[in-house]
Amino acid sequence: MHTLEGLLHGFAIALTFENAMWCFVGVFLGTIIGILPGLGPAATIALLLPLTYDMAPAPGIIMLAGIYYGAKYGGSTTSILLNMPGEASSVATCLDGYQMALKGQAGQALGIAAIASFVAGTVGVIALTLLAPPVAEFALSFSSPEYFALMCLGLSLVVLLGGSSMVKALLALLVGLWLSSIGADIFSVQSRFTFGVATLIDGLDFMVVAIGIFALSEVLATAEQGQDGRLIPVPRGLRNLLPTREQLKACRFAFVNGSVVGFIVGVLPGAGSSVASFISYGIEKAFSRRPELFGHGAPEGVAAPEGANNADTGGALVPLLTLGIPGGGTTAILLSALIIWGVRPGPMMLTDSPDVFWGLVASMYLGNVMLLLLNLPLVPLFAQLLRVPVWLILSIVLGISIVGAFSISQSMLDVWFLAGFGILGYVMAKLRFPAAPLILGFVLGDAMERALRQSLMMSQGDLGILVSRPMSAVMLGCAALIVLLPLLRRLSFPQPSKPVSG
Amino acid sequence: MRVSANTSDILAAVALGALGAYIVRTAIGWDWMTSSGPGPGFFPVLYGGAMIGLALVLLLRASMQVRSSEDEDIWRRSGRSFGLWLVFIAGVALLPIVGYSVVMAVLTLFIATVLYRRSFGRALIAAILVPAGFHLIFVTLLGVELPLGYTGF
Repeated sequence: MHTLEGLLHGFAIALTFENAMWCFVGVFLGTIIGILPGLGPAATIALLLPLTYDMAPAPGIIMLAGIYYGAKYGGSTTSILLNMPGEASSVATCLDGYQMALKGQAGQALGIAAIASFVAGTVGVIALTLLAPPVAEFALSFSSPEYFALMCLGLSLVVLLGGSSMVKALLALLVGLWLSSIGADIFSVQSRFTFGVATLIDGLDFMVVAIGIFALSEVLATAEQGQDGRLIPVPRGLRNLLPTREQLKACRFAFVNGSVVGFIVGVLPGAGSSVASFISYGIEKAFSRRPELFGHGAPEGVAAPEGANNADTGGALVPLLTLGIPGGGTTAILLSALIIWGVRPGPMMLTDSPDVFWGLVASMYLGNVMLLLLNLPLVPLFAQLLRVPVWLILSIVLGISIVGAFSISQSMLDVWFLAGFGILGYVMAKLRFPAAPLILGFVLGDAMERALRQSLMMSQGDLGILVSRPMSAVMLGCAALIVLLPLLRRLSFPQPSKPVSG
Repeated sequence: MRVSANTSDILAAVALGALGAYIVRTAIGWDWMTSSGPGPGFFPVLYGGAMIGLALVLLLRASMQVRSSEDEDIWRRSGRSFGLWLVFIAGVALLPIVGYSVVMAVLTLFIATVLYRRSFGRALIAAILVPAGFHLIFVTLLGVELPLGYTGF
């Protein structure tokens, strides 16, 4: 199917009443959870996934993706009004957004954030539309060795960019691989690491792991703080939310910068929108004619990171949909959702499931328009959500977590595992072990083992097959460089030992 | 007791090294290579071995760091989180006996009054409304099965 033809087909799917309604539900929920502290898009999608099992794949993924990018729109609200990012990706928005709010320009800051999100989000979807088909076509030539090498490359990037310590990120990834091995072996009847528990033969349920690691651990981390934020009042009326002509003029390059940087960084597994927003902010400040204003309420200091944060979504969906490789925790959950519905993301998705692929892409154009309409006039209304006390949110998230874990197979064992993964996620966060590599290792573990073992079956046990095929050799070489270069650099330029700080 | 990031890293390295050793020890008992290709022990031995190696690197790195009296105790504020987790665990243990709604009411009361020092009256209202809302949405409207216990809630 040609790109334009595919996109038109996608609009025919996305614009049906049912799918447009689920798109609205997704972006609406996304905006709310983006605003509410203590609950991120990964946790929300994980919590809601068990309730979407009975949905058809197209409306299901349209809604979950709506939560994903809707949360990014909503995340700016708390950054600007409370100096408290609703999402990690909105941290950079605090720098100038909150300063604008302190100067009495909260409305304009929220307006600039919404416009930047819309412009860059739409550019990201356009780039996804144009780039996805050729990438998928290229990946059609991949066999098991190339897939194994591609997963190694993707995971090495996640490890490189996903945390402060590469060793810790690698260890988290290996724990994820181990968790994915629990249950019956994929090629034989051998049960592995089941500790004699019969129900573990089917393996750990992804939802239990994801809800525990993301939602429950977030509740435990939020409980540490024990206080609510102080809200800056939002001016009512659309006119007070629209930026001035001068402000828009100052932001025009920031819109472009955010769109391009956000999309490119989004394509890289592991980088994520936090990295994209900070790079975009840094570029904007470096090339600005008035860098001294940054950090003191520069409108372009809001537009650039918010744009990058939203263009990142389109980029992140390129490897997910065309290669089946998620780049972060939220996209890993979207991958699992698609698999649960019987859709296999990868190069064949465009031909096997065009309705889902093009329906999702087209719905993102629609969703961005919905978000602009929701976020400009309704921001004062959404901001009232910040008055919901944190203790009530924690209680509600705990309640949904139990429902989510129990409803998978009506088993109390799943609720016990939920408690276990919740405390594991919390301890990991305290020790600065990133959660994303663990989740990705868990999601990709089976596919990675299958690809490796199939490759070795093809070569009758000769590991040389992984490096004798050009594409596979190049990708494995890059993965090895990514992992080994920082270690070699440390050995070449030993750093003096320094006191540990928390 | 103060537990710095450094000490925590050492403990994490020991735990992960032990996990890696367990994985390798268990997996070498399974087929490594069969006539049709790698067996079920092949992949776990690879990542288990890597886990041992990386745990050693983490252990060495944490052991060689110079300690300072200004090291921040990363667990200083964790008592509240661990307390909430223990209450959650107790709630999970009681779920099959007292049911979901009672457990949610107790959890809400604990979070509001103990962790956030809100008035008992306000907390009690939330402790009634939150489980009632969940029951209405999940059980009545969506038909989701919840652990009801002997109370029937």
